[in-house]
Amino acid sequence: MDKFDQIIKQAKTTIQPNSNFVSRTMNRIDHEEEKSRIRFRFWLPVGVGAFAAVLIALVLVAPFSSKPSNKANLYASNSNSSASSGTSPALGSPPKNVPATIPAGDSNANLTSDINSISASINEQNYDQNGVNTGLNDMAYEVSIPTYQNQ
Amino acid sequence: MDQNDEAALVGKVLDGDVGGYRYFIERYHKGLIQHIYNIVGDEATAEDVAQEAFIRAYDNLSKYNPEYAFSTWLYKIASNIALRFLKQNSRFVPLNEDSVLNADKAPPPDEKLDAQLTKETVVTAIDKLPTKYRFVITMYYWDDLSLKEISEALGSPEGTIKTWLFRAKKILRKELYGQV
Repeated sequence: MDKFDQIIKQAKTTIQPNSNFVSRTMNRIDHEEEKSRIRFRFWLPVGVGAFAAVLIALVLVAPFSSKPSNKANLYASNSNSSASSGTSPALGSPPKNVPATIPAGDSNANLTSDINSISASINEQNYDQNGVNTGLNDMAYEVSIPTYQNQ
Repeated sequence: MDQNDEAALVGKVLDGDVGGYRYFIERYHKGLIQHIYNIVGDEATAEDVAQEAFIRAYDNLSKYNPEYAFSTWLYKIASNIALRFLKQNSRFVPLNEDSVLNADKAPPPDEKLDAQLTKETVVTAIDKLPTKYRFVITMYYWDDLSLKEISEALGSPEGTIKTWLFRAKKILRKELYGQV
């Protein structure tokens, strides 16, 4: 260490910290700790309550939500398909512009037979070997509508 | 208490023994306050920054890496807070590093001039140093930290710290012997 190093070293001002610094800092830490505990105690029940409320709401709404909305969509699509022809058939009735029979060689004939076979297959799958409904009725319902339109 | 014991105590504090943290405050507060005072130059501010550093260290205790000394980690936190404080409340416009370093060679030490240098003159010159140099000078000469400890606290390689120290001294020489 040369002379210049000594000059820098000697320029140090030593200070004496406040005697209550340690207890003051510990108090602040305790205070912060207590605040976070209170926050936790407050937000935990609120969080759990909110989660439970959402869960209950979902359970209550679920049984009513699936079928009616599917029906509504199907009827909506039915009326949309007739909208282009300017007709407005009653809900659930076949659109007026659908031909009674499908012309031979029409590509729609293949489509109709495909739909019929899918529908039949789904209807078969609706019941297991013990005759219990396996819950595929909704699908069968959805697929059977276009079949009905083309007949 | 050595580094391993301190790491074990950190574990206890993390497990809920809040009172165990008092040991760290009692052991390190004097050195830490002095370190911050050397940087910011104000006693009350130094205590505030030190308190903030202890609280921040407590809040982030789970991030403490026992491979390093607790004091090094604490100094790093405190240095960051002090640095932020300096950016907001700088007392001096720092010297332009390039202009000083590129100037003529610093005058050689002169015993007559050395005798005229007052403590205030030296402190003022240190205060005018660019922040990183001020950190290095105060940590090395006033906090008696080794280059390795400074490098860990500031998160820069030891070689860089050595260069900063060399440049800081060069700027100080120029400033002090040029103005006496």
